[in-house]
Amino acid sequence: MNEDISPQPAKRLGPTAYLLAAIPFFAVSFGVCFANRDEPVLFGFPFLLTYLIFWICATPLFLWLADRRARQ
Amino acid sequence: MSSLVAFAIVGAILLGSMAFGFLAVGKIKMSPQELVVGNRSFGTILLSLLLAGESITTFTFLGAAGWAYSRGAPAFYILAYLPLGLIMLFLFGPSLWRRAREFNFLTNADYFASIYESRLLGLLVAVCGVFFLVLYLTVQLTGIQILLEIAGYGSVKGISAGAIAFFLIVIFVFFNGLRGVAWVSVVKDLLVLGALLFAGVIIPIHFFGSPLHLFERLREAHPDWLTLRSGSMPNGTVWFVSTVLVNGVGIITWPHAAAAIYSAKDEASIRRNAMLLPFYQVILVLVLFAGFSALLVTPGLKGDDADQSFMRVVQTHYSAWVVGVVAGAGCLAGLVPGSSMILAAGSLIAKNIVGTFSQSFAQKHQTALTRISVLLVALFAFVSWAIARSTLVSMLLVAASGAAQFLPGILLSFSDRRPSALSIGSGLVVSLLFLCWTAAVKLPLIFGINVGLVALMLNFAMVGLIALTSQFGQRLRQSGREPADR
Repeated sequence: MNEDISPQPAKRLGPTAYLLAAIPFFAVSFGVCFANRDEPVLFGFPFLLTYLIFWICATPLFLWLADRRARQ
Repeated sequence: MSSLVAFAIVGAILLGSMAFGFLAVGKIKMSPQELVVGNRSFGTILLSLLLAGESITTFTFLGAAGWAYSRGAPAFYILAYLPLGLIMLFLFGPSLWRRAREFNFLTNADYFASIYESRLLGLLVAVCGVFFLVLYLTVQLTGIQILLEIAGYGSVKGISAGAIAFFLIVIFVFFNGLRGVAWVSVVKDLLVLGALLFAGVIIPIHFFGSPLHLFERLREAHPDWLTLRSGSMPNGTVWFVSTVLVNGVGIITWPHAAAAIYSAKDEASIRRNAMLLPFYQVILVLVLFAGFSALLVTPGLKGDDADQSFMRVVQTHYSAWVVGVVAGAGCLAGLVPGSSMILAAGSLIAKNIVGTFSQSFAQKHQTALTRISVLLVALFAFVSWAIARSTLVSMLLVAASGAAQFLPGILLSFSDRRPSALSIGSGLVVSLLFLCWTAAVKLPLIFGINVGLVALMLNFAMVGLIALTSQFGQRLRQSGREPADR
C-alpha cells in the first residue's frame, strides 16, 4: 500500500547495542537495591535520589552509543 | 473574587491552547490515518511533543507530589520507570513502527491480529485496551476535578466544571485528531515546565531558603523518609524494582503509546526521541520537591487528600493568578494525554471491535465511526466516573498492570519461532483474571513483588506452556498418523 516503504535501510541492533542499552535498564531497576542509602549526601540530596538522577541523565548517553554501534 | 480570577485564567489557558491546536492543524483533510496516527508524518520534534505530553499526566502532576507527601522515597519510582520505558522504546519502537507502516496498522490490536493471524486475538486486545483506557481516563478526570475545586476556592463542585473541561477536549479531538493533540502539547509542556519550576524551586526557596535546606528539615522531621524500606516489606526495594519494571514496560504497551509510535515519520525520529526525552523527564524531580515541601508546610493530610497537598500550599500562600496558572497547567496535563487515550480507544472500537463483525461497514465509514466512538468512549468514561468513583480506584490497579500484559505478544512477535495466537491470547486472559482476583481480594503484593509483575510472569509461563503443549500434541499426532499414511 505504501509506495516508499522506508526512506532509510533498517538499522540492525547488534549484541553490543543491546548490552549498552541493558546497562541503564538494570541500573534504574535492580541497581536501586544497592543504592538504597541516604549517605553520602550530595547537595543535600539523599544518595538514592542522586543515583536516580545520574542514571536518567546517563541513559541518553548509553542509547546514543548503542545507536552509533548500530549504524556501523 | 479569587475563585473568579483563578477560573478565568484556567479557562483562558484551556481555550487558548485549543485555539492554538485548531490553528496549527489548519485545513488538513481528515482521513482515518490522519485522525489516529497523524498520517505517519511526525518528525522528531512533533513526536517528542506528543511523547512528552503523554508521559506527564495529572497523575504525575498531583499523584507524584502526593506520594512524596504521604510515602516519601517510594515516590522515586516515577523517576525510574520513564527512562526504563524509553530504553524499551529505543530497542523495539523502530521495529514496531516498520511493521505498522508496511501493513498499515492503526492500532495495537491491528498489530496483534495481523502478526498472529487471528482477528479474534485482535478483538480481545481491543476490548482489553478500551477497558484499560477508560479506567485511565477516569484518573485524569479525578485529577482535573481536584484542580478545578482548588481553583474554585471551595465555591465550585469540580464535577460540573470537570464535565465542561472534558467535553471541550472531546470536541477538540473530534475535529483535530492526533496532530492537534501533539500541537496542544507545545502549550502544555511549556506551562507544566513553568508550574513545576514554581512548585519545585520557588516554593522550597520561599519556605526553606533553598532545596538543600528542604532536605535538611525533612531529615529532622522524618528521618526514614528518603530511603526505601528493605526487601519485601510494603513499598520496599522489591516492590520498587517490580513496579518500575511493570510501569516502564507500559511506555510501549499502552494502546495510545502504539498510536504515538505509528505516527512517527521514520525510525530515526523514534530513536532520537528515546535518547532525548530523559532530559525532559528529569524535571519530575521538582514535583517531588513540591510534595516534600507541602509535607513540612501543611502536614496532616490523610488518604486521597495527600494528592492535593502542594496545590493546597499554592492556594493558601499565593495569589489567585498563580493558582489559576498552576491549575490550568495541571488541567492541560490531564487533557492532553486524555485526548490521545480517547482517540486510541475510539480507533480500537471503530477498527477492531466493529471491524471484526462487519469489515466492509467499518472500512467504508472509518473516519465517522472513529469520531462517533470517540464520543461514546468519552461519555462512557464520564458517566462511570460520575457514578462509581470509589470502585474505579481499585480497578485502576488492574488497568495499569493490565496494559503491561501486552508485552509477551509484542516481544515474541520478533522471535523466529512465533507462538500461536492461542498461546498469546491465553497468556493475556490468565494474567488479567489473576489481576482481577488480586484487585478483588485487595492484594497489592506477593512476597513484596508488585502483582503486575507476578501477572506478567504468569503470562509468559502460560504462553510457553500452551506453545509446548501444542507442539507436543502436533508431534504426537504426526507420529500416530505416519504409519497409517503409508
